[in-house]
Amino acid sequence: MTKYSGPTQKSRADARTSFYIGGLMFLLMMQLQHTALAQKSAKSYQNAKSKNSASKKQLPQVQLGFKTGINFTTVDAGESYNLFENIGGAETTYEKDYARKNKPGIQLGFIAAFALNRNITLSVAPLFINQNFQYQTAYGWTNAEEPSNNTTLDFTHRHVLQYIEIPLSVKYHFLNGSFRPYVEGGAYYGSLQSANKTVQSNRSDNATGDIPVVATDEQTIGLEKAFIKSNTGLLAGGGIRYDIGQVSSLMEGSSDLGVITITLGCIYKYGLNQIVDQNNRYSDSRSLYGVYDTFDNMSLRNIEISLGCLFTLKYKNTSK
Amino acid sequence: MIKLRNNIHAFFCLIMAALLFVSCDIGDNDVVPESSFSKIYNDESFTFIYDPLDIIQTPDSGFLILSSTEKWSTYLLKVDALGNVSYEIKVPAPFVNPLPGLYLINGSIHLFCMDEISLQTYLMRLNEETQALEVAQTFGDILYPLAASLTPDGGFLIQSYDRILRNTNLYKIQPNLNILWKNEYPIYEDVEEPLIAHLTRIGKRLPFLTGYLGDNNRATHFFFNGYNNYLFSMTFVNINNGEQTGVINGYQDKGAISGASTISDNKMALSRYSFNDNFLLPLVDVNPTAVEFSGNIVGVQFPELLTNAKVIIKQNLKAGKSLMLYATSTKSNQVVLYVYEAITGKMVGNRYWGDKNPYEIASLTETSDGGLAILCKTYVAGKFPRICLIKLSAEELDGLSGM
Repeated sequence: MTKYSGPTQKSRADARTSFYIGGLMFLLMMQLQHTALAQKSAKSYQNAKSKNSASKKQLPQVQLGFKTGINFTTVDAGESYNLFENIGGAETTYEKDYARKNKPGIQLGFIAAFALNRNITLSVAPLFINQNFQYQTAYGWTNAEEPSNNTTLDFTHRHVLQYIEIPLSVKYHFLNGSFRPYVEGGAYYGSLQSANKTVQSNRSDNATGDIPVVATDEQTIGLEKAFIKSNTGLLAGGGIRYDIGQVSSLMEGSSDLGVITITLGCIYKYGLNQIVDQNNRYSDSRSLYGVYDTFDNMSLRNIEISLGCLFTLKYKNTSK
Repeated sequence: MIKLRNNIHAFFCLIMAALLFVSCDIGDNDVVPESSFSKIYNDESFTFIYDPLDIIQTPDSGFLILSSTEKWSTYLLKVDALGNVSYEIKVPAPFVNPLPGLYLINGSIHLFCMDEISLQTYLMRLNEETQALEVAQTFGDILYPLAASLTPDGGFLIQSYDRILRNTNLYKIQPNLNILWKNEYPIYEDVEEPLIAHLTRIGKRLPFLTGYLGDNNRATHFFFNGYNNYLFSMTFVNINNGEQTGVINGYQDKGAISGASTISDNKMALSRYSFNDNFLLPLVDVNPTAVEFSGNIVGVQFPELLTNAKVIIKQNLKAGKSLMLYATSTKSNQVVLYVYEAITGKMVGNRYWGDKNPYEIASLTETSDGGLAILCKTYVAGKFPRICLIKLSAEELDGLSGM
């Protein structure tokens, strides 16, 4: 079995990059939170706190934070495209066998939430997301006179698409306590950043009638040109938010961190557009002629589970 | 409060406008499916082999592919405009040794092949309704046909081998399918063994060709590429009687012209090989009345090409620009298309197809949409020879030719 070191190193590099981006985002959030509170809101917040504590409640109106989590992608395959066509009387269709369960991907990004009133919030959450899907293809050749003489060739095609996505959604919150369930709906736009296919091939050769020769190979192919940049769709989901309440800063001389909100949500994303670039369906020699694969028309379906943390930048006074 | 709300609305509107702007590629993601595709026609039989020879676009925008199978049996594959199989014909004996060349005559597609026993030549016609090949004409005198081509008057040139007298014979066939003249070119030695190895695909494939100098309306000389006077040579002959007027000699069959296409008058695009080396000569002024040696024709050596690579040369007119297309096979198991300007002989583009498993050129043809259909042989799973069709759109070909 031949394994190239390239993909492994690339995966590690991706993980490192994600970690650094995450850390950077966290620091940025903290800095934004401190700056905003210190320069703009702290004074009004203190005033409001002292004056209205008895009769008014401070509701977060503008919040900024980050979120991360895992996602599961499936493919909604449309029109089928195959490199192979049958001749000689066989009826094999060479359709791809799409996996129903794919390896989870990760997502990491910011959230900005704007409360329109006590229950309704507008949210924009630009994020970096890995979406994974795979399918299998198989081929076989047999000697009609000596069926034990045969050769089989099967490929497992694993794909990783990396998008920067901008989901816009409206959230409706229920209840009034610290725990507030919500439902949300909206739309998203994704911009493709990279696309890779890792192909594992298994070949069994019984031509000699002796011990079958089995060979396994794996290679990774960059496929940015195979997909268009855009991936748009609708999203719907729900979750729960928990307002921790006033949190004091651990940093000496700093103001309070204000209301911090933790969210746990799950959304289903329904891709509306066909993501395969029709102009480049047959342009990649390695994928097409090397592993006999060309993409079907497809759009993506995705279930995303995220944990988020929001810091409050601005408050809104409301009566209890 | 109102100001903040307005800012929020403005922010969301800005994002939506930006997203609409960047998502233009969704609307542009639409192509005519038949303009560009690739297909491999796979037979799941362990023992069947296919050796594609030629391709022609049919009036329904589909393609007819001519192939030999099981060494030299005749096989036809009809596919639609998307490359999907319409029907296939495994032509039974005795119709073997199909010659590269598919001709649309009076709305029907014709081809030449040979009788397995008598070695005589047949012109076969495809009956689309019955999906069968019919004999259109039998040429009992023409034995061992090696190459054929259309002439400007609508007739044919056929090159054959006379195994008794050890001659190469050239026949001019009239449009009514009668023989106008025949001429003999003595070889002086027995070349039947390499010929059989060539025909049955068990040995070296030799670049037998016929054609003409001049233009599409008028031929000034005919030529054939084959054995003549001990050597594998390109021989130029008088169009009225076949008498030899000039020759480009090769060196036995180890150095010779491997591909030829007339640009206009005496200007030709050629390729030649010399032992293991391949040379492309996109603009050559040939003298059809002189005796020359192919090794003296200056060309650019292409070490990347397969030893004795088959070279298909076709002229292509794009928006008033004349291009010469060279399709051949490389040592890295790929098919390559080199695009030259016919007037200057300068290369303007190239493209490679294939990866891992071997791909070899068989033929190419222009398509009615301004694109190109490239016929290849590939070895699927590295071991089973199969037919591969690559269709290029007009835009892809424009991109290759720098337009």
